Amino acid sequence: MDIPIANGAQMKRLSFVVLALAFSCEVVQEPENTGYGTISFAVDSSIIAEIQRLDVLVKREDGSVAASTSINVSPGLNVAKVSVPIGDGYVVTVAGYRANESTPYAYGRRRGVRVSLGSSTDVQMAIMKIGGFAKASGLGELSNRAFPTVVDLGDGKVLVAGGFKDAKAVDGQGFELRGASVEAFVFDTTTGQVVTLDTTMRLPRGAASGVLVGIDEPMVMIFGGAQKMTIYPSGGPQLVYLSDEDAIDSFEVFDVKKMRFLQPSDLGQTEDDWKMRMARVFPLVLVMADKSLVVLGGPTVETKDKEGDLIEWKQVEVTVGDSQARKILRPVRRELPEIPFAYHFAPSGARLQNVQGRYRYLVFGGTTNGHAILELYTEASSKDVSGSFEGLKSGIPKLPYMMSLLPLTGADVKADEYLFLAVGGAFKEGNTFKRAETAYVIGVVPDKKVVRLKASDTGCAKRVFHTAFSSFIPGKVVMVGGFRGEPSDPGALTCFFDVSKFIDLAKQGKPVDDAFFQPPAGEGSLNPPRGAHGALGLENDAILLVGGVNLNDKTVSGQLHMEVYAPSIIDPLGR
Amino acid sequence: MKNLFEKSWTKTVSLLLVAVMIGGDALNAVAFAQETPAKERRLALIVAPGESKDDVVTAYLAKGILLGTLERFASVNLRRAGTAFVEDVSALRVALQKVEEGRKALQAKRWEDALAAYTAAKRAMEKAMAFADRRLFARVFKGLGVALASLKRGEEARRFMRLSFLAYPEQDASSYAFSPEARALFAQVVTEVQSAGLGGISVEASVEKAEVYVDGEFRGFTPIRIAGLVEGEHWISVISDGYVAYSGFIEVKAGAQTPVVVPLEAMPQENAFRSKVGQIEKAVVKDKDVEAACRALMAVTQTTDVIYLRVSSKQNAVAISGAYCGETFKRIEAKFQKDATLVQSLQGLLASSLGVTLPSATAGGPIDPPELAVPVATAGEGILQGEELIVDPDSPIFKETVRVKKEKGIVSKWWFWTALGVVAGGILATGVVLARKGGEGAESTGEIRIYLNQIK
Repeated sequence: MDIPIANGAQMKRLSFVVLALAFSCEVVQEPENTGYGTISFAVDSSIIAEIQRLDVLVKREDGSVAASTSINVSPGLNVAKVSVPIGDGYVVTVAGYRANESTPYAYGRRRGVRVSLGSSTDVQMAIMKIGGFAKASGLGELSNRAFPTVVDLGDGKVLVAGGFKDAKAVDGQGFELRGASVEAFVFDTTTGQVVTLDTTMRLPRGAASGVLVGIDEPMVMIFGGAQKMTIYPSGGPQLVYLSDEDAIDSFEVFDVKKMRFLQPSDLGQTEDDWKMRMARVFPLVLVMADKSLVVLGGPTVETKDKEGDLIEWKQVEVTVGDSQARKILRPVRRELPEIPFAYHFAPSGARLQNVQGRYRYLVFGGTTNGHAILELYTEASSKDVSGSFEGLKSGIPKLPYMMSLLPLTGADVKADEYLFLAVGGAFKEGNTFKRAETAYVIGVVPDKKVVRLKASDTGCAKRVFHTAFSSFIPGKVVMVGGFRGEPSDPGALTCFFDVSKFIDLAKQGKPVDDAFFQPPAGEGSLNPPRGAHGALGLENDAILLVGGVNLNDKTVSGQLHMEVYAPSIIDPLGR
Repeated sequence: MKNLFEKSWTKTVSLLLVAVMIGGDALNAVAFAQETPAKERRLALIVAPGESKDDVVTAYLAKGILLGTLERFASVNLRRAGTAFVEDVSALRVALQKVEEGRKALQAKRWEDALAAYTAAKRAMEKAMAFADRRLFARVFKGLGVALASLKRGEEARRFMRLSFLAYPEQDASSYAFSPEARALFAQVVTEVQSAGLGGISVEASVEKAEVYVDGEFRGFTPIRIAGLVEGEHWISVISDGYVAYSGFIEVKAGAQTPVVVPLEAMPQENAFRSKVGQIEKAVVKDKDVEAACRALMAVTQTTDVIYLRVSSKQNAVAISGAYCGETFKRIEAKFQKDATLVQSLQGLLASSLGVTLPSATAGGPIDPPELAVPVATAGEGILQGEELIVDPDSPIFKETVRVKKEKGIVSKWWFWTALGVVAGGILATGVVLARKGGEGAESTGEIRIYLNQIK
């Protein structure tokens, strides 16, 4: 169903919203609350025909259960009651069961639900089969794109911006990604609705990095990227080729409330104010404790090393045009002074710990001979000075590029040690890039500057220009898509990594390959197989996968490929 | 034959009339030639070449013949398994059970129940779809198609019917005559398929010499080009010993060669599997401890039967040395002429090893027709046992059957309940609000409504 919206664009309705079940409220007193809200629950059994029973679980932020109920779905109207104390931050989960089955078949989840007094809140929730890829259809004119920027806007909405809309095979094994786009759209993962926007970025860009800035007026910043680039998934003398003129040194600002990209003049600024000190492709954006951003890496020339940008959002009084002076928030860029920070192309990063209210990050990969593969970056205590970088000896024998660095959670690890999985990407040996065939679990004790390493030659490691996720499913890592980097590239299959199993095997001194495993055969994988896609871990624990090079026909043409993937390792009632 | 057919037809019609008049119980009591579920057997078939280059070619020739024959054994509930990884090797048994449930529900015109059962069958089958035979596949998708069509969900039904028909083209519209909608839609599907353009696929896998099946039919080994496929969606499976089997769907474009590249990953127990294959190879070559090695292979493949064949080329002959183990154990030593008799010889070897008669290529017959379309073979004179009769769905008898069916009326329509739900939900919500306003006061409670959406 196409729904016209105010600005004349078409919002594609991809889902059904049907009422058939309803809850009413019971008033129950709890000491810490002054009232209770009601959950009205809606589903039509003819749409989700297989589901016979629905469990509803409402949890508080601390994981305790605030309310639960179970409903047998039958044709017609069903009424059940659930009492929910008023409050914020509820996690509402719905698990659907098929007849005579005790394992959930489908689930839906929303986080941050508020139950308030005297008002009704509509909560949209996507229900998905557990262990499957839900392919979005009816995407209209949206065309496929490689390396789009995918940013979580909160409230289940995702901004997808830019990307390369064309690919040309070059040099036998490379892909020239071109036709960078200025377009953007918003995908509501809770309803399946796509809203095309009548606002565009200032510059066409792919391979840019985006982040939601957590300030009072939420803004998305998209840094760098390129108008054209060539990737070589099979490796060789280059992994990524970029010319200086194709790389981009500016950023974009997207106003989430207004749902539009801003111009520098909107904030009383100039084009130069929205430039970084150099062009960056696949830059790493680290969010600091005070909401400022540190942007690292991604230069096209190795000599431009040791340079980072720091972006702060400051409230300033400005006069825009003829209007009166007013206070507005706007980004202010500051160059990080040169500090012992290695050249990094497309580095990975992960937050380690708070150090007296400051964040400490691990920065990994994309470096050159003589520089550290692993570095600790600790946020500065004052904005007048830079943070500090400290190189660590990684023990990794080669130089990793485009590897994912994934914090491992949900397992029994030492209190002062942080575990990461580094998987996929390529290694640089001498002057040659070669697809990674080894994954590493890296243990870092930051205070002691100790790094431990465990290698695995699992088949799951063999992927480049892929995506991988951890932490949203405790104790597990999910690896999706990417090139296998072979001449006739079939694409990399979905893989999981089990942290507990890894620790058990490592403790026994056994090979850890078995900690990697594949989903059941019926779960499928990216279809068509793709690499160089965009992806995002969603608040409901599913993964959104957008675009990418189609490895069947080696193109990025045709309609956009977009899936929501609910891995079978999701435990819908577990958190 | 024509006269006999017509005579049989008349008898059938008469009996059906009686049955309709007596009621459903009489129909249920009528003998119906359903598939009797034999004991489930899962066969690990391994065909390995001898040592020379020629042996590789000969071994794949033999393997191709044997794989092309294996499908027939589905009629005695014997299916291939174990040499490649699937999620659940016993899932096809569950699928068969669900198909039977679905079939009964279709007969009783309980469409929702049938849809649930066939959906469950599909889910189960998907756990081992690479090893599903085309008949089972067609039964599952036919059931889904009939149930959905009868529920007026034509577009979904069309896809399933089409896939069922492609996998099992022996079907005709009469076997879809559970409801007028199902029959009419299937007739359309057949017309569409028959008038569709043709295209081809080229299949490559990350492993050489992987087996390729299209719509359940063995087509050869990778890399392979397959032409003459009707445009649209097809079921494809790619299997290689020691790897995770692939089974899914591809889109064929008319007038084009669609490349299909299938990534195959090593199966989780690959090392154990290859080790046991190595053991049996050594045992067969040395003729020592063959049974133990065979049973070890059976254990690692979780199968009930194992056939291991080592194939060598000997001038104009094919020499085979191997073993069978299952309920019994047999050493296999054979030498066949490499001529037109080779196919028959290998098929005979397969059947005798398994201890069964080679099922005929057409043993399957029609799949799950409505009972009303089946001759009451025991009741009339002149009806030959096994003679296939086809009920004309436009027959007045069939229409009568439809007409006497209890009309459920508006309450059986999905949209009725949807509409009622919306209206009643609205009334309920209003009622709750009013009650609150009248009772505890407007500010005493809040409310959340959860809307469940599907991403499609």
